[in-house]
Amino acid sequence: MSKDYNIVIVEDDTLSRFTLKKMIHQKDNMYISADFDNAEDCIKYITNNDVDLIIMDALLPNMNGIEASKTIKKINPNIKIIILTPETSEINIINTLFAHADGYFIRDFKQDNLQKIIFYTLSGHGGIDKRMQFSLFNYINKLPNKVYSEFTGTLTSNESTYITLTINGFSKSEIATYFDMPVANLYRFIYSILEKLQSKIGLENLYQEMKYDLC
Amino acid sequence: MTCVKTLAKHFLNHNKKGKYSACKNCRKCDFQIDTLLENIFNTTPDIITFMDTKFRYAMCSKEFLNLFGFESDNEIIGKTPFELLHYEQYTTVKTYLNLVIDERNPKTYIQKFYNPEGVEQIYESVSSPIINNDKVVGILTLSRNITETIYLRKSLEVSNAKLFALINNSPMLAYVIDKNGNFILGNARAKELFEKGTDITSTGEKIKFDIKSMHENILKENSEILKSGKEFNTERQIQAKNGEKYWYAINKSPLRNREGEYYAITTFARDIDTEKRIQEQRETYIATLSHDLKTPAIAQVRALELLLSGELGEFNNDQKEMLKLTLDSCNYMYDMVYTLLSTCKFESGEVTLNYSQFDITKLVLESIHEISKLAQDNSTLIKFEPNMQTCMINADRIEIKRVVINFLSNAINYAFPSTDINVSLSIKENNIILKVKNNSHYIEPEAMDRIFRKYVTHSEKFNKVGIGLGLYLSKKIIEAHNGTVIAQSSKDETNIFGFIIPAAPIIDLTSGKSKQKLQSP
Repeated sequence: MSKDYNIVIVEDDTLSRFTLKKMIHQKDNMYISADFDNAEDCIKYITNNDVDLIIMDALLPNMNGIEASKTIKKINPNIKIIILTPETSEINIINTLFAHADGYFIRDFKQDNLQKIIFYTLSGHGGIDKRMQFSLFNYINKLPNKVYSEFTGTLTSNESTYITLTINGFSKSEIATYFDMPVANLYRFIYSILEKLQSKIGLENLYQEMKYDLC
Repeated sequence: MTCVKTLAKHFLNHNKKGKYSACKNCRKCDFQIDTLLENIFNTTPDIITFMDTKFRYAMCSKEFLNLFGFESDNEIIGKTPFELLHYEQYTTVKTYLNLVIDERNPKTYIQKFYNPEGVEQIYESVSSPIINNDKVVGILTLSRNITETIYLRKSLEVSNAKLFALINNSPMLAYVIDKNGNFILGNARAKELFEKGTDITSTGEKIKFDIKSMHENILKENSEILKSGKEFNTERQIQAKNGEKYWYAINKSPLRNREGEYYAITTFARDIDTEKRIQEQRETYIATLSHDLKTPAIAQVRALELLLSGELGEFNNDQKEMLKLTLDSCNYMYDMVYTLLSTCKFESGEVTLNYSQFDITKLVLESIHEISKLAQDNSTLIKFEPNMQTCMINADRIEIKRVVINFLSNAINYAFPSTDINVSLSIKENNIILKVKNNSHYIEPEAMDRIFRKYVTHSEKFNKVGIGLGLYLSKKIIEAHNGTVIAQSSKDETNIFGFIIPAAPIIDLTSGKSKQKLQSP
């Protein structure tokens, strides 16, 4: 039984929210059941309603999308969450990646990709915008020596290879060919790397400190 | 000594006679002045006099004669200081000469004369008793002109005093410390810092630093400077006891002693916290502004694209045209915002390049195509003959494209009307070389430096901030790729702008790390 996906949008910029709604309504197998301009209302809604996917802006008034994502996952871990961020600054990207969501994308994705993004996330493959992956690897590169060795020590050799191939500009299909797996499964590497990073809690604070000592 | 003894004997003999005058016998007696002594008396710049116990001059050096304008020592012999000097001078001299005779010891004192030109000269004199058969028979005086030394010392004192006044009243920390970290000298503010660990910012805020760690850090850094012997300049944040960090600009210079060893360091430290905060505020303001503009800019572009796609209904031709132009305008605005934001990021050291493998020949063709309308409007023809059909490189495609378009649009905007632009692309030793050549005014070397600065446009003709900013950003992007920018201007009125970047750098986790690893603080 093919069902239409129930999607909720949380976005505080009116034009963006409206456009996103229209873009999704055009697609066949999905519809918007509700849209909100703040996180609190959305959280209230999902406690009483079934939702398949939430497309959430990272920046929201009061509670931001990152916190909201964590909260929602605690309430109902089955809801898939895509975080959209307009950010391209490294520190904000890293912060966003710690949101425990299923998909992370920068807001200026091409229209045609929207369907792909939603589809992948709903089928559990998720995805992280390549630019955000680069920011992540850059961040790892800048870790203090001790932490860096500790962290890279936890990576499997495949995960390290994945990072190396990515930062050397190989495309997804090339990397997938190298590992002899479908492109859709590549997300496993990046998620695993991300999870391992997230489990080292103190890192977020480390980054803040490092930023000032840079000069 | 022998000669002086003879001299003494000679004068004693004269004195016995009660008269003191040029004795004819002197010419006849076999008393002879040693040639060496005669030489010394004639050539020494010092004043040497010999007088008897009644202070009558018997002999003197030529310089003494010169001082008083005498021609030969006949004019001196028999005279006393009383006849030559001013009264005050004479009394001083007399006192000392008496002491020499009474105590039978050399005495040092200062004399002042006016030379024939009327300029005051200061002499340091040493008078010694000449003793023969346990009797003082005369006094030998050596006087050295120390006018210049005195003058130098005085002016040194004056400049020192001025320097101290300057340092003590300057709004910065100034001090000298030795290699063991001991405070040698410094101004009041530096003393406060060293002894109590306190300082005051330019806004009057009191700060307290931890003395122990401060001394440790200073010693550590200074020992490096003393070893290298090089001047050291830096700007850094120092943490105070309350956890806040304050910016200082620090200049240190090692001092060398006569043996060539570095033994101490002068330090000047200026609190630049306010400047830094203002700078930071300004950067943050620009970043926040651009960031806030991004969201509506993207939304506008999306909305217009959606409208133009026809998915929400069709438009008539006029409506479509209007929407398309609006979309172009929004894209342009978004581009501006993106450039501004990227510049801020590059400035703050945040460079994330997204490498991918792409064909640069294709990228250049794309860029030329995108800029064709601008070229047409300026009656400019762009010629591109690539050396190779395709050329795969590893770089950040979006940023490199930005640079190519920047160079192309600048070339078009500044070219003489109806002239051509030549684009060349080649590969040499695994480096990609792109050159964009146009016909435009010669650019002086100093002006060329300025072109790549952050908020400058080369010519007032194109009053667009974007153009200036674009070149600055382009330079940053190329440098982030470990490449170099090409900027050549010839007097035959052609200009070439371009870049050289590595075609396929291989980055792995470890080598990438060693390239970007921060210095430990």
